[in-house]
Amino acid sequence: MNKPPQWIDKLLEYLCPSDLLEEVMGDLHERYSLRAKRVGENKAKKQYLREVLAYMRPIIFSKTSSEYNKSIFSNMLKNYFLIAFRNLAKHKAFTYINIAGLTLGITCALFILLIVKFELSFDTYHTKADRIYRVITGSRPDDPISYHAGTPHGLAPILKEEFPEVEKVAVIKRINSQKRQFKIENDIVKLSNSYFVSPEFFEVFDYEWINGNPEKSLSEQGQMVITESIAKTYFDGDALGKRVRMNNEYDLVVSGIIKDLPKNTDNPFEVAVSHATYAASDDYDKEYSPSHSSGYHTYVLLEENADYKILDAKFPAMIEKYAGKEVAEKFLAHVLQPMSDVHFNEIWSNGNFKNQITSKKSIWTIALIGLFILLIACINFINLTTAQAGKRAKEVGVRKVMGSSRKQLIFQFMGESFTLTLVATILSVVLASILLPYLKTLLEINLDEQLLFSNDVILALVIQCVVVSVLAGFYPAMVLSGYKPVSIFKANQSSNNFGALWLRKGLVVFQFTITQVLIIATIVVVSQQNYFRTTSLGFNKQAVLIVDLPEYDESKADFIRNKLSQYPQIEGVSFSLNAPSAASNKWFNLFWHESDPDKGRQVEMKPVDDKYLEVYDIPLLAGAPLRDGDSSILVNEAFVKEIGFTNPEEAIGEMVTCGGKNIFIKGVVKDFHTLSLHEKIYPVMLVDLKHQFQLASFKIDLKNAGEAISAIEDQWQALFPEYYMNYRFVDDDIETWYDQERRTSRFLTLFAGIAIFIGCLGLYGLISFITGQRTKEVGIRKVLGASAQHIIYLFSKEFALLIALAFIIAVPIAYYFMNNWLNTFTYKIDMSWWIFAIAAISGVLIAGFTIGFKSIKTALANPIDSLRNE
Amino acid sequence: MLLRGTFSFGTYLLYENRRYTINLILNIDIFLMRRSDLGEFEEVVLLTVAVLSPEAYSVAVAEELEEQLGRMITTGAVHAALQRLEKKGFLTSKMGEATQERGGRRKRLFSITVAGSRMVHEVREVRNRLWGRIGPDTLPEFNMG
Repeated sequence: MNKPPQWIDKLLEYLCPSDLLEEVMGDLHERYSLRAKRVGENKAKKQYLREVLAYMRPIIFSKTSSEYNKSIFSNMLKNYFLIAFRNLAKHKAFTYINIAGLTLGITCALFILLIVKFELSFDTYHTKADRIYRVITGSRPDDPISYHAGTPHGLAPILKEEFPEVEKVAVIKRINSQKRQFKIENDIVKLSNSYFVSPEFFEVFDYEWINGNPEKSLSEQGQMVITESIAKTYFDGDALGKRVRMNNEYDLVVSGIIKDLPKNTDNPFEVAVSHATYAASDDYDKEYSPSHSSGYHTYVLLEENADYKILDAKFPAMIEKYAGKEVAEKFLAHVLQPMSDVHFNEIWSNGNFKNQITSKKSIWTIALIGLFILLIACINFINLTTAQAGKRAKEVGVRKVMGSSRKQLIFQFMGESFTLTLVATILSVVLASILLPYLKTLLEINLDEQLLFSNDVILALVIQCVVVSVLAGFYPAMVLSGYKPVSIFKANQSSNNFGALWLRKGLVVFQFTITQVLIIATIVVVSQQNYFRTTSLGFNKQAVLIVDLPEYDESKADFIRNKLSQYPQIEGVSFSLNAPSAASNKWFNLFWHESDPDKGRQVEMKPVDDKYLEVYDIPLLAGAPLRDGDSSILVNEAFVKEIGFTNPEEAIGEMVTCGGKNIFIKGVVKDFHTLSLHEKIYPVMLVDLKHQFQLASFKIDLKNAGEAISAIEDQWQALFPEYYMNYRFVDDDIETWYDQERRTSRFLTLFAGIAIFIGCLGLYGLISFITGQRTKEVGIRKVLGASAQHIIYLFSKEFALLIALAFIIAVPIAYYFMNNWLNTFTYKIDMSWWIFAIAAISGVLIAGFTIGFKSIKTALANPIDSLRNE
Repeated sequence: MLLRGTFSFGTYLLYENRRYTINLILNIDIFLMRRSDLGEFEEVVLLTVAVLSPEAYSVAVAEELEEQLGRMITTGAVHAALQRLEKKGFLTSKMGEATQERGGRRKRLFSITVAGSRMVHEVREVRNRLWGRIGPDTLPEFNMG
């Protein structure tokens, strides 16, 4: 009897679900033989194909076509889940440790992803962002040229006139801090995000208008535009047309309202006063000259396809044309900075309004930390799963005997790790959304919380889920599926086979290396920050209260002095341009001295009165103090060095030329820090220039600070009823300079802490597994006379070695990176041995505590309990 | 019968006076049974199973139907109908013995369930009622040959 065509059978075998194959093939062959008998082989063959094709219908091939037709695959899938679930439920401690570790790791990584994403998104939302450039000003006498975002006032009109490729020029100026006060109805409020803005600014950048437009709302003098939330908070939502008096100086009308700005902008204004208002004031210097205003930023919108490098090259000629050859060669330079660079470049972005410069390098460092924390969590997972592998060896054996292929087993174990990762990911998202507001306050970042639900983040989470489950699950899956059934059943195989053990040790070392590096980094950053806080700046910064002066005149100064001298809590009053250390109002000028008559040297001018040294406790090293109305000056030690003397005494009576005048040096004061500790001490001149005074300083008795403040407040009200009294302690102001460092140190402390915790979780899991596995051994050892100490030693020895190894690897890595970081500061701590010692001790303590608890428990257990039950 | 429902589960997180709503919407289509009525082909298959019982399996049914209907009936079509009928609960099956023609493979034998029996009876009743109500000369005459 002839058989039906073989190839069709092969095809069918391939296509047909295996559980159906028997009856289907049987039917087909029986039919074929019936047909062959009836109509002959040839016809039967033709009809056979038709018969086979008739089976190609969904009801037969769909996997759940009927009860008996359910595929093995889906049955097994169900079984995998069941086993996975039972396994997780049986080893609860492991499951919790795994999920807790992964959840923490993923949450951290998620936070860091949000931070990185937020930082990278600054000002990218403007539609013309790729054509916007900021004009940077370089001060020539410095070598290397120091760059600043502030520009001379006269620059904008020149740019528009000179360069056809400049489509629009926009300017924005942050209003000086003492002037950011507004009288709304009868209240005087301080709105710190207040700027003078030109109408073009709204054409160059994207803003949403609720009421008004740039042409109508900002082109005239005395107009101001506010954001929706300011309108709501201060005007009850009805702001349009309202009159406001700014700093008792300008009368303004609210002429427009815009939507609140996104948080990821470096020009974060809430109040925009028309630039015309500023241009009409006395502060505005129309001339284009080297003296530039630090808060005055100029942006240009270039035409499409214009190359900003070409424009850069044209600037020297422009400066020469408008300010003269000397200025172009000696004093001034301009460069364009692309908008995409504004948030990141530390050199060019000196003077950003929010001081929020985050270099790309630090962003990638943050990202790396996130990645490492995730890695630590993955390592936990790998370690715990492989450690447990022995317990599941039998299951693998049975499965293999019953016909599981290696592929199926890998699939099963990967599936388990995927399930765990998925659970951890979902938990992380919930945790992150709950914790995000706290994190924002803790790390002082202004994150947009909506980011958490953006598509990119969700996509990243999905990718993360897959990558982590592969990363964490692949090795255990390979190990487990590789077991040979024979060897599993023959010997009582322990999980401690050689390869897995070494890998596990390697991973623990890796984990602890990362942790140790983070610990060292944290200690360095925190102590550097402490150094900032505690270093003596060379003057009294704690007990001095400072208040911005709206205006200075002799009679008012006398009034304050006389009235306040009656209070014993107030020990001294002084008027000056600024505090000894001040971020704003630093005023540099050039001076000449006969030691090198052609060389203009830079000096920081400090207009102060005769009481300044007393109030701030600045010691006088030589000469006499300033008298009221003195025309001579005091200088600091750096100044003395600059003009070539070593001894302060020698400088007394020397003459310098500054601002076209000859001045004599009357005394020398001890060096004090005028700028933040990032910078060196410049030569300083203390001069009595009363028209420059903008600040009143009160030395007060800190024990009665409250009374002193209320006394000052009373006098203030009487003198300046139209002004807001903006008082603070000098050290509060100084503190804000180190925001960046404080944020870094908090960030590191937090994430290093979490990394340590995750690492310890894993260690705890491992040690509890090992102690669990060796209970019997411990029991026998104890019966034979081992002491508890010996057993603890037995367990700790191995881990102590691993941690020591990790420390040895971590030290050079941490040293390299932290030394680089410290080198960015002029005044810094040393990387001394104690930093490493603390890191080592804390590492050992943390690990010891983690291991110790479990091993002591095991060591102290009664051998009867461990040996009795079999 | 088809049951289709939408279950939505919603919750929200509140912070900084903003509400983030999390909605989990499950669209559930539940097929309780595909159809409880009987197709024409299914009906004849069901009747044929009754005729051939207890030796009813797909090849026998296909052969029988081919003879009765006078056109080619593939085992695949019969197989599919049998599976549908089993799913609807009108048939049950068990594996029978192997034969030489099948290359030593077993066959699946079908028998009618009580539900199946009720179904064929109902169908027959409907037909009978309809036949009974046809007027005497309504159907045009033709030669049955």
